Amino acid sequence: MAKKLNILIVDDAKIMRVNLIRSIESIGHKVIAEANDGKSSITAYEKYKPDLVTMDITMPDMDGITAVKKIKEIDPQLNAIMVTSHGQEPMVMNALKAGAKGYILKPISAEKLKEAIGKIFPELENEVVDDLLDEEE
Amino acid sequence: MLSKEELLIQEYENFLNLREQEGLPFSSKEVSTLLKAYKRSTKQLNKIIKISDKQQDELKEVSETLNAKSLKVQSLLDNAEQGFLSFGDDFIIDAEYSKECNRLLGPALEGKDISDVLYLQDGAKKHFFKEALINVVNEESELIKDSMISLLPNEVIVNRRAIKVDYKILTNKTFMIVLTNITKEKLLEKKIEKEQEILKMIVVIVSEPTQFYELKDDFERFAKNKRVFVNPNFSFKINLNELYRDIHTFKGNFSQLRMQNCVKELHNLESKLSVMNTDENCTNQDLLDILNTSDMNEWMDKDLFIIKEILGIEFFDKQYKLEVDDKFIFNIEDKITYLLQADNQHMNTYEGILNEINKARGTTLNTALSIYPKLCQEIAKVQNKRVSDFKVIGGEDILTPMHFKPFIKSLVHIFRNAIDHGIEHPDERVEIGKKEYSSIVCLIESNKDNFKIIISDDGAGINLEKLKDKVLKAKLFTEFELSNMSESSLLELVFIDSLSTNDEITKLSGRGIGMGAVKSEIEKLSGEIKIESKQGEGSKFILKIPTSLHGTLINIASNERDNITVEYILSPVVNRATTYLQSDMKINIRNKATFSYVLINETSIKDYCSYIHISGLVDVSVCISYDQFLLDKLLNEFNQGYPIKKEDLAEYRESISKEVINIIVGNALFNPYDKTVLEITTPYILEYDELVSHSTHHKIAHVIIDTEYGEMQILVGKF
Amino acid sequence: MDNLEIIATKSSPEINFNRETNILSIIGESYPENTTVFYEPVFQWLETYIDTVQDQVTVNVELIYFNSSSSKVLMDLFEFFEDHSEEGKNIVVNWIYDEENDAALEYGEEFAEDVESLTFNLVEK
Repeated sequence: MAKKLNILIVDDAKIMRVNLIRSIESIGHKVIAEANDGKSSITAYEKYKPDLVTMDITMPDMDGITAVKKIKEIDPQLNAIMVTSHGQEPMVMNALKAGAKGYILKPISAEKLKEAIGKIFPELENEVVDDLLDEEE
Repeated sequence: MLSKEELLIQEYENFLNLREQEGLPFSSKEVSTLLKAYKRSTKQLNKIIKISDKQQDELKEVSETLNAKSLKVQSLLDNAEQGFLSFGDDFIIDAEYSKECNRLLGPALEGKDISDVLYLQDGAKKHFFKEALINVVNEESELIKDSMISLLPNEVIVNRRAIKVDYKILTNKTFMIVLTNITKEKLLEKKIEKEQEILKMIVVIVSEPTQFYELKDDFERFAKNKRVFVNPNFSFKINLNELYRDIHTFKGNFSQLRMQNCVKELHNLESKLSVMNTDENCTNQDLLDILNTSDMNEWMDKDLFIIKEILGIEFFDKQYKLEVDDKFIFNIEDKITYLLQADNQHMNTYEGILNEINKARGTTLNTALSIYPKLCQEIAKVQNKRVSDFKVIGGEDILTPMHFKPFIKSLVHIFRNAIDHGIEHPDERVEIGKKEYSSIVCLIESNKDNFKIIISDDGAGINLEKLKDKVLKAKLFTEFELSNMSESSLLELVFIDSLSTNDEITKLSGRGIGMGAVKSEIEKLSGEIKIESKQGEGSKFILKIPTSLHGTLINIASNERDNITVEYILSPVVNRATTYLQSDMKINIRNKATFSYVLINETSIKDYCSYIHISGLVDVSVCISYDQFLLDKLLNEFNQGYPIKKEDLAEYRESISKEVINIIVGNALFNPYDKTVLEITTPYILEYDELVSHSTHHKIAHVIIDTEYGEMQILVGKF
Repeated sequence: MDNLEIIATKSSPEINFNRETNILSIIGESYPENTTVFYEPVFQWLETYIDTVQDQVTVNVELIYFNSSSSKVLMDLFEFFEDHSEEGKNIVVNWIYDEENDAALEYGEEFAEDVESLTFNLVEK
């Protein structure tokens, strides 16, 4: 049985969050919490302890990169994927330096999510294959 | 630290000194020991040198192998058509790189900074590039290293070439770049994009032609009246704003139609205008100057050229044309024709209208037949025969209404047969002294009350012997009958269905049904077809079709307008009667129907005359009578050969007479498009006396159809 | 007396002289900066060892590279073993080389030539 990841999504735009929830659920994972800015993302992380966080880069008050840094101080094992648009490459670089493990370019699609998650959790890929084999049997 | 030998030497030196001091010589034993030591030493030395030489040889060999391998690898890289180069965390390019790098990035790359070479102009990109790679070097996690590398741009433009760049991390501190020249692909992409844009433009324009025509006209007008834009009575600003608004609107409209070149030009002007907007020193004159230097007339040219290329110049002509369904025209024609009968006063007007409609249709007989020259070329090609190009001669003044189409279509069989059966293969022709290219002539002769279509060829003519054989085989005629037939009658055998002089039924003209169709069609038009053929010289088909008013043909120049009402009914009735006898009842018609106009009291009628009256938009009567023999034949056919009792005969004969006129007139006048118009009475038997009592001063149409069983007489008129 | 164990470096061979098994191994590459300094302890140990040993001594030399200074040392070494062999000690020297390496075989042959009365074997690895 493929493992279902508990994911925390962080974005200041409601429409993006809705989009993310749909895409994440379509690939078999669960959104356990949402946050709409950097600050609340930290509290949410502490409260829900997700397996993975998707973090928008540009947010008011505290941006995604700072949030990643701060969460990493609490939990060095943080798995974070930055959500970015083209042209933000230098910021993504900084995020990666700060400890984010990957990034996705907008527009979001289920495939892109799957790929990015697959890189951080390679064992899930195998599980998917196992599932397929099970189905065949 | 002294070696063994050195110790030994030292020992003997001391020993020598001692001996010298003592004044004593060396003993032979001592010399011998010394010599032994020397021998050993020399031997060792030689051995060492020998081994050393060998080692150097080995080294040389290895060195050569290394060189060769190096060259091989270099050769592989150089021929790979991709650029491979490497550099360390100092960004200096290593000396080992493939030749393609030179082609793409320039000469003498070793020692240069890679970020300078790739991003010569772009400081920001250079900076990011270096930053990214430094971060990669400092990063431990493979995953994040990969993510970081993937942020680097995958395409650069260097020396006006589009280059794809792939990055690879070789070791912690060395990177490799693979360069691929994708300029061609990019250009192709651009080309395809451009073509797609053009396609989109065409699609929009074809779907919204009115919009296109309107815009085109508007802009042409706009471009002509440039001077008007700068109204000296208004301030510069006001004029500028007006103009800007107009240009902007046009830009939007052209953009909707995807006419990109126009959009571009308009956009440029827009920019110029908006710059002027911020300049306080601009005046109306400046505005005029700009307008005068902008050749707006030419802006549409590029796009229009493309449209013309793809849609043809006819597309622009269509602007003033209307597309109308054939049925629509037919309906109008019909209605006007009926009105023609009903409203005698305005007859001329209605006729005029009909003429105009037909002119609008624009298909002359010449045009209608003009498809055949090309078709002949195609047929000839398939058969490997040669036919000279020809044009249809004549017929430009004859219009072809709708119901002529089947006849015209049937003519294909004549051409097909001519090429298939008549015209010989080029070598055969040359052998018998004919020109390699055969000739087919299609001539239209216009006469007073008819026209002729003459189709002739210079082939082998119709092979009568083959024809006779086939007919005999099919048991359609006996030898005796055949021997008694005239040549012209024999030729007419061609028209009999299921007859062919081809030994194989070829795809083109196998079953012989084709020629039969021609005969059938021409007879529907009250016409006739005659064949002339000379063995070895060619064949000629003469198709004669009578002209009268709307029922068959209209001659534009014609001024004959006798008795329209009658004409209108007469032709279809006669045609239907003919086909009824021939096709339905299988009775041979011997000669063409004869027409004349008579006064009732100057004519007679045959037996068993049935009378029918038609009212509604027309007011006409029809009478059909028969020679008894013919009527009996019809009766037999109807009865399917069953014997009839003598006492019932008269009744049956009457009955069938009425039946036949009903069928003929009913069919003839049936108009599928407008069923409301005519009322037909039930037929009743008419005696001559009664007929005379119907007499009028109008002349009535008198038609005799001559069959092998006797004559059918048809009277049509107002009586 | 201890065994002699010198760890190999980039330029000097592993020296493994074992008194219990009487197997003396020289393995690796030999081009130390100062050959004399490197091999002195080797010779010293051998001097002491050879007098006390009664059983067969097996010397395994497996050098994929040696410089000229080292070749002199090797010759001295083989001479040493030859002398003691002639005095009655049971000594076997194995020159071990890779079958692909023709040069190594040739070097072995060169050395063998000079110590005829020593049991000197050329052994393919």
